[in-house]
Amino acid sequence: MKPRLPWFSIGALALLLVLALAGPWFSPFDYYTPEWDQPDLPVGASWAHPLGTDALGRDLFVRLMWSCRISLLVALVASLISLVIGVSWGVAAGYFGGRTDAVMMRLVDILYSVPFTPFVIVLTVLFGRHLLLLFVAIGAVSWLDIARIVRGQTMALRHREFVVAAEIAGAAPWRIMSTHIVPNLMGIVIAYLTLTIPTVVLTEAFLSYLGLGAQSPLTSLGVMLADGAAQMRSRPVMLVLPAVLLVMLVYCCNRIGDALRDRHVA
Amino acid sequence: MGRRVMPPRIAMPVRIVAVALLALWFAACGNEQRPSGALPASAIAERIASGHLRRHVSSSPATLDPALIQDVMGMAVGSDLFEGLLRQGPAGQLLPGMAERWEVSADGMTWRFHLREQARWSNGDAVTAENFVFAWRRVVDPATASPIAQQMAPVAGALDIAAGRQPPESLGVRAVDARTLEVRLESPTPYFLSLLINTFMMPVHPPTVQREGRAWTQPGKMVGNGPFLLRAREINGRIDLARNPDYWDAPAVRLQAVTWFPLTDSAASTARFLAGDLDETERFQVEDLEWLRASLGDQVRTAPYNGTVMLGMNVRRAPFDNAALRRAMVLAVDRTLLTDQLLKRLYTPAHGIVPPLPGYDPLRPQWADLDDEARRELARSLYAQAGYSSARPLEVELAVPIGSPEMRRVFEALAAMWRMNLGAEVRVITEEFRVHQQNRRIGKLQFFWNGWIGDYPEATTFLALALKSNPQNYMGFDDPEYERVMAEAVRETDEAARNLLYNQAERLLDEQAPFLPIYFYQSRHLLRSYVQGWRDNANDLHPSRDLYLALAPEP
Repeated sequence: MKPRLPWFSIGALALLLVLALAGPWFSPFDYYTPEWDQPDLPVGASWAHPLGTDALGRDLFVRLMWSCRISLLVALVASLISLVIGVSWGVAAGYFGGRTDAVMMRLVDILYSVPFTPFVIVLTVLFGRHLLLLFVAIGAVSWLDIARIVRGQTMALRHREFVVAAEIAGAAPWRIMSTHIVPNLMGIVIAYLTLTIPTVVLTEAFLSYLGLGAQSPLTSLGVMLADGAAQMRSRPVMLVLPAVLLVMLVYCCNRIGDALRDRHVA
Repeated sequence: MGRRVMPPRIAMPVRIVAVALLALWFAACGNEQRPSGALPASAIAERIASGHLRRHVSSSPATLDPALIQDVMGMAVGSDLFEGLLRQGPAGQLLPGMAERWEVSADGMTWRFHLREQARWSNGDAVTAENFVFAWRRVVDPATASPIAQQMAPVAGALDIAAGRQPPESLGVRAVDARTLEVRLESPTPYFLSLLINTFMMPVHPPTVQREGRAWTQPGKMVGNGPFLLRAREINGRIDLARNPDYWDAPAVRLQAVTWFPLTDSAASTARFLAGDLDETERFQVEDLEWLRASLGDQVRTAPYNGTVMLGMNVRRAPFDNAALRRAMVLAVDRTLLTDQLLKRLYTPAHGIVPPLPGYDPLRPQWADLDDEARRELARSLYAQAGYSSARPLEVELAVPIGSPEMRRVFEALAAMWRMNLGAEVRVITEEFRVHQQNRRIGKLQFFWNGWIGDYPEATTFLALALKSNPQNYMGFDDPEYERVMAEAVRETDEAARNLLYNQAERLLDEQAPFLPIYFYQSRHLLRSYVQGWRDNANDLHPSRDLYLALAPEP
């Protein structure tokens, strides 16, 4: 019996995506221009500002949706980078085995032991602040898990009849990997991808919270959380809203990823 | 199929009741969230009986060696452990410390200090004039590598010694006898006495420093002459001080013990204050001001602080090698909007880099009194004059250290002002603090954070930042006229004439605009009502010596 798909999570995630992508279009405000002709800031909820404004007088709804966009964008791009590196690395190690495998996997072990935060700080010092760098930094670190899983799966596939048959038929390793092994890995890879996305969302939030991620006036969930944490007592909604969004995003992705993995492994 | 552990089945009614109880409990907690701010009377009585003051410091001092202290945290703790020729009284006034009296020569170049007979080190030795000579030479000696050797500049020969051109023995300080210290100055320095309360002017005990080397500031090894002794210190943690019975004015010291708790996060220090773990905190978040005032009343203290929030522009590099553009950037900032609407009316807008000081009124440039639209119009015309327009907007990065959410908000507001008032695109980039300091020093930055806290209540501590010879002149500002006016001001002994020269220097800075002043600092403390003897002062220095615990202040 296959487990049921988590329709609630899928629906919630879809709703969030639609809101994040389309929401800002319906508002006359952008995420960076403050409205300063107000008698008092921040402005409370009104028809013009459905959630009010932040302490600088910028529309809170638009900023929240933009922060979801940026967090998701970082998550997608970084996950894809980690996917490409992880799958190629894992397949190569698993397919060739022996000494190649040992060297490649020891390298993975070494990279696992590099502390992440100092690594990112060093990167930002060397290359300056850029959103692109954030993608690369996170992607370059989070491929390790995928590489390990893919390697294990490849080793299992390596001695299956169809691979052996292809080898006997004289197919080049490159061709065997690309036409016989990788397509058979896709299920588990996609399942892990959906599990990588929430991890990356959290990592991005953590970096932005520290001020190492998205740079102002651009925002992300981490930036919104950092800003909200400062006003926790005077205006808790500034912390609660981005927190709820982050929890929803991460929960839904995890739930979907779990279900996909279970279906696949079962 | 993964294994799943099913939760134990609980009957529906039980679940509903449990959830309702939980919700009630949360609601009850929610009500407690608004603290009255008051501690129970028994807790207060206990605190007062202990005679132990628990203070907060915004981060652990990097060192407790008077020759090396360069941060306000070290200054706060150091002032409890050591005492200079003069000391700072509770209201910021200068009082006799190790010196009981002093006189100055007619030309204002030579000072003589007479040390008091009862001045003792904590091991019983007498504090002698030789100790001061040793300590001051040590500060300027390149072998000590003191980061603040430059501050000794008013003492004859200090800069040459710090630069390695002269031996430390050539410093203009001499022990006439054991209790008389003679100091020769480079030029008559009107603020010389206010320099003397700084930690780098405090004496050290030569035998201890020579015997222990760098380890001499450790608990058990340190020998001090201040009102308190170092009892224990945790790395990056609490610093415990106990009353020094050998202090010359020991009867006047009321506290039995003081503990300094370093806490970087001001939300955490506020929480610990509310929980009764701290009697005093340095700094709280501006966002919290309103509800803190509502719940704590006059236990919230804010006061003008001798410092300016400002930015610097590198005048040696494009695009800020253009004075019209620099001025446009200065004028385009809506300061009142920032301080009143966005920062809860805590700060006062700054139109120049020198805050109002006792005996000195800073220059108020003409543009400060223009109405908002006229000022913005002037800024736009300067921007156009510098060759920028909507077709060719200024694009520049503003580098700031990673700071509090409050500072982040200020920078975002500034960027929005430049965009809305000029059409300039300013990207704010945050850097780790040490990286930022480094980048600023090597002149890599065009546009950067340049906040400054004055070392003494006198205009030169700010104006000297624009002198060519100052290593902290990160703007690369170099103006012969400015150098001339400042040199003249240093020589001028008449206060009114000197203030005119300072105003003239300020006018030059306003025209050349290497700085972008934003607002003046305010000190902000939470202080329990049973802590007495506290007086707000512009140095924001509150030595524990003058504080005591009691229900009401004593006359």
